[in-house]
Amino acid sequence: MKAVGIIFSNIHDNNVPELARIRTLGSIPFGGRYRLIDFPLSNMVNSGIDTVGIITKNNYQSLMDHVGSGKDWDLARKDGGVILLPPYGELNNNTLYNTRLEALKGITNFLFRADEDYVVMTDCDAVLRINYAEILEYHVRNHADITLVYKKRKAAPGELNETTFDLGKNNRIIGVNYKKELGSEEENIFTNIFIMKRTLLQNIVMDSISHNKNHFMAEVIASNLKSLNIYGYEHKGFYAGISSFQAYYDSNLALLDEKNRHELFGDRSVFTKIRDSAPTKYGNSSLIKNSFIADGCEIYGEVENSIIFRNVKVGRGTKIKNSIVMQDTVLGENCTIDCIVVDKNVTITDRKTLSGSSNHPFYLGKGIMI
Amino acid sequence: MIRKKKCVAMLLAGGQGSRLFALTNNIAKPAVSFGGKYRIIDFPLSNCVNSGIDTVGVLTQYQPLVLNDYIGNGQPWDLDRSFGGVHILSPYQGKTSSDWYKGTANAIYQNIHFIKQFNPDFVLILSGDHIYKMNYSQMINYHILNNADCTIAAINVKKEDASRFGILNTKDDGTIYEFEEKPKNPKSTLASMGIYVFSAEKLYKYLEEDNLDASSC
Amino acid sequence: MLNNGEKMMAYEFSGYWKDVGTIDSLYEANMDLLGDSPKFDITDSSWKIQSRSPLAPPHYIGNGAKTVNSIIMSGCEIFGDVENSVLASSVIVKKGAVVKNSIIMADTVIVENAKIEYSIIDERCTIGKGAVIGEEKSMKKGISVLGRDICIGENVKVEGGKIVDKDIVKEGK
Repeated sequence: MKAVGIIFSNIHDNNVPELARIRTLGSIPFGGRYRLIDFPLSNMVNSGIDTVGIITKNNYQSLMDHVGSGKDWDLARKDGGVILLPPYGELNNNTLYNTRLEALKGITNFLFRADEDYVVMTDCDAVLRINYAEILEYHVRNHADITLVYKKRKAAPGELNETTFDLGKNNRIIGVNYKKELGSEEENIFTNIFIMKRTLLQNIVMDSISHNKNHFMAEVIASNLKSLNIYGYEHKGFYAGISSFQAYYDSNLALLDEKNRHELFGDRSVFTKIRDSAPTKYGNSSLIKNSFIADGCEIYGEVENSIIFRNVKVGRGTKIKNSIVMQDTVLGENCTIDCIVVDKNVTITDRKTLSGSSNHPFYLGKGIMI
Repeated sequence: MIRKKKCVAMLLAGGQGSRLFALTNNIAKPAVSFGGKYRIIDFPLSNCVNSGIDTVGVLTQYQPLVLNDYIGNGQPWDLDRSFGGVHILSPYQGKTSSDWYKGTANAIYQNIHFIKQFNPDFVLILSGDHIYKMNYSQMINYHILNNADCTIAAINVKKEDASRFGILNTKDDGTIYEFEEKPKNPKSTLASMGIYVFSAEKLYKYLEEDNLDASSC
Repeated sequence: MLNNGEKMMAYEFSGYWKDVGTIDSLYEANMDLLGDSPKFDITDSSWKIQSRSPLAPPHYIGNGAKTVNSIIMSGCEIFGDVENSVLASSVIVKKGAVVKNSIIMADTVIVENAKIEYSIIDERCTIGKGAVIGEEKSMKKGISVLGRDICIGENVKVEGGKIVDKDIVKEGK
């Protein structure tokens, strides 16, 4: 029961425009050390999937640099392994694809050349640990044609445009709702993880090409609820959707909760590109509370409720609170940072004060000097 | 043109480290953890790579498993090469079961074929016991400039410590005229660091003679 | 070789060079990495020292924890006090535990209220509740050393300078 993996690295780029301006969604740094694509990629390898196609569109330089040969995920293989699938544009058509279905139309070669029976498709818009092999077993037991993974949860603040499911007997999906805005109750929200037979996906794609269909959920799923066995699989574990800048901020800070940290990283099986730094050093006046800190840092100040990426320098007297500071950023002395997301390579000189709020954090772009 | 390397390094990582007691019960000294992130052997290995030396033979003896696993294919130090790279040279087990390394010279002689396959001009001999940063290519240049047959790296130590080391007595131009092992009354404070650069041909000559002689240091 | 009239030169090196062949020198060399102007700067990016590191997430430091003048590797979880110490990968220091002037190697767990002073503890050890390992340098007993995979039971005391290579389950052993 082998499956081939497909990761869409850029759908939902619009969720977090601040961070996705210079990089694709999959490349967005997360959790002090990782990038969003590390989670679906690690989940696939840990589930026994060793051929993974990553669909890209624009700004995929840093993604290519990060994934490389796939070696760090044990996916640098002679047979299979990780394959970057850059956008395939038609000769006389200058537009790149816009929807999931359009993207799939561009990778028919990859689909046809694979020899696995099943395909697992996922996006990079969420942080979770999941075992696709378990979902595959569930899919086969139910004699399902398509299995869609959902999470029962309330919408995050500012979360828009989600797909929810109405479930019938045995979790069969009997209704698909595309909701621009969500209410305050828990709903069965789609996680953008699909499992189906590879041949079925091929047929779906070829059919869409001949009938000019462009929307997977609306034109393929919703219109086939009766003719196909489409089942919902509930993911019960940690799930952090990166649906907006606020959700990005909240999801990072969710790692400060021990339960979440252990679920995600406890077995050390989230892989990422290996970058060597010296260990982090703390000075005489450093005071750290409830923070998650990567290697290579030199910390002489105070850090509270924050996520600090590698090689960050925090000067004496500086206080960082409720913030996310990405790699290579340097903070001088006696600064105060509260509720800020700081991108890479930022320099904040002495005695500066920057303050956002927890429901409206500010963003400092890459390379900025203050 | 035959492919060759300018310099091959031989890293003596066989130490038992008995003075580290419980820390070396199951691992060789160069595998001991240091600085939270490192192992002692990272220093000579990284020094080699940073100095442009990409061919390193590591001679192990005592409890080699942890060290062998740690070094693996050399990838973390960028020493996984198809020509050169890092190679673990295990203890040579000869016809007699007691053919373990009998001193540094023997250890190198047992692996002379490893060195010769790269046809180097120079052989750098290192130990895996010290924490330091050093650019070996500067030492090799000094060796070349002085037309030396052998160059030994040395460091000035405190007068009161000198009797613990191998002391080099030198003339004004840096030539060594005398070598004293742990002298009671040291004539100088220049201690040998156990780092040697040999011109390859000279090294082969003396190792072969030594082996025939069967009595060497 | 010298005797045969071969030309042997001394190449003078000036810089940090430390033999780590004894407990004391290994300890000193580790401590030389700490402080605002360390004797040996491991963070120098112009001469990188590479190593094979285990994959671990960033380290976490909890509320009420103290991390002063120390080096802390990835994967650690610190809920107690760590001062003037070097902690390797995935070391856990639980609430109320105190680690001072010590070197703790990978995957060791220091349980609630244990106290480690002037010691070197090897990999994968477990130090039980309230155990006390080592004594202050001023007591002049030397550095305590624990080998790898050792369990120290609740409230067990290990004196300064002692070298332990077997589990100690009960007090007074």
